[in-house]
Amino acid sequence: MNTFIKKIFFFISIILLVSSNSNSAESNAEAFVLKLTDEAKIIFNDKSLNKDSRLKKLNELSSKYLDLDALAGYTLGDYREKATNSERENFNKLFREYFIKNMSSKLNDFADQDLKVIDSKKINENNIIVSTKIFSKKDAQEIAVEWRIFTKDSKLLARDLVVEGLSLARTQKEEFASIIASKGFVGVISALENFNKSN
Amino acid sequence: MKKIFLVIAFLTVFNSKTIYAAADLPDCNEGINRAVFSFNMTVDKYFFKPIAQVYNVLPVEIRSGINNALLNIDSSLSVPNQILQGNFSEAAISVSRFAINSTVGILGLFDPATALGIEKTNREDFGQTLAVWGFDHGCYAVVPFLGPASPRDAVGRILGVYGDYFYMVSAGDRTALGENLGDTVYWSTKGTEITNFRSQNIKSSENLEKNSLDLYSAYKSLYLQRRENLVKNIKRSESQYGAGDDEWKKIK
Repeated sequence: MNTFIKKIFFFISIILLVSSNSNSAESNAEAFVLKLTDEAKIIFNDKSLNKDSRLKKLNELSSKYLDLDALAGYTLGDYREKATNSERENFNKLFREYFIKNMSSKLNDFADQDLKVIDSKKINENNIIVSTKIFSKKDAQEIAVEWRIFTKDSKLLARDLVVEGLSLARTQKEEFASIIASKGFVGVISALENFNKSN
Repeated sequence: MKKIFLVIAFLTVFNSKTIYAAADLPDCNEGINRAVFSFNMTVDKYFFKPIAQVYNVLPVEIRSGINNALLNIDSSLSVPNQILQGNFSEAAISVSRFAINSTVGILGLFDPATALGIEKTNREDFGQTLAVWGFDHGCYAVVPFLGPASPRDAVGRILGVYGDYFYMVSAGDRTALGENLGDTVYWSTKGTEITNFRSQNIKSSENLEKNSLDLYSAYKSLYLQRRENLVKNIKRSESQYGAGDDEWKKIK
């Protein structure tokens, strides 16, 4: 009987341990999003920064918090498997610059708004979705933003933003797919180069 | 005139040989769609956007009240669709919200129903109902002035006109409390609805225009994602992240 009770305790302990680890992973992801947005806000609200310094700081922030190589790979879709190593390397480099310039312009409008974590959910072994809301006093709007947080070698990295149910990664992937279909991979490279030069 | 519009709308959206054949949203008439998209963007630049910018000058409290009233009117369209989709409890909630907000909330300008704990239900339209009934999108189409559509959603929009209680008691020939509100009320409400929607999306559309490498594809993707999300609200058993997750699993 004693052995039976010990076994029950053992199983309960394992379940509690797994569940507490899972909860802790979700809490860590929530804290990660708050830290990332706090640091981003500091950059966007720092009026002393010129364009180049701001981009440099955003680049550092991205290296610390974002999985840009994975995002680049995702946005390539089916072409990901077909691209040569040098094509991927060149694409990843151009994509990083494009993404940071793009984000710099997109997120600037959210810099003075409040972000609140609503909840988080582990959707599989490596991915946690953190649901947040951004409140805009000026427009009296509430925007739902979900963050796809990936665990890579026990480090957390953001991979996608889903704004009001619309995935930025998926939108980008479908833009690239359309360009690849009409102009080939070279069309994507050329579009990225043109954007990076003119911004 | 209405019949001509319906015929044109049908011809535009059914100009395809693969209607209901594909699981995704094929772009069967991409050349035409891109041309109509450019036309719509020009109309937006010189007509809808400037009106929306002027509208945004209104105090936030007024815009918020108008938004509430429009959502209240729109909820009358959700009720028949909630019933058609078998969501009777949601239909009952929508009816009670509509009754409370239209009376205590002064024609929907305020939202006392939420304050009373009666939360908003999912917005439903006939396009979503057709999706729940198993109809596929068909081919992607860009309709002049109206923007992105699919045959399924275009049919839904047309059905929506005739299944909409507000339409029936304004532009239609029915009465509410012995009165027909008249065409002017219907069309001015629709105009305000478009202006309100556009005013809420000025920043995001400007960002999209500035940062997109292929604006047409970006709009197409956003339209498709939005419609998918609206349908998924109904199918609660589906994972919200299902489709995107398969692709992410391939990334190391």
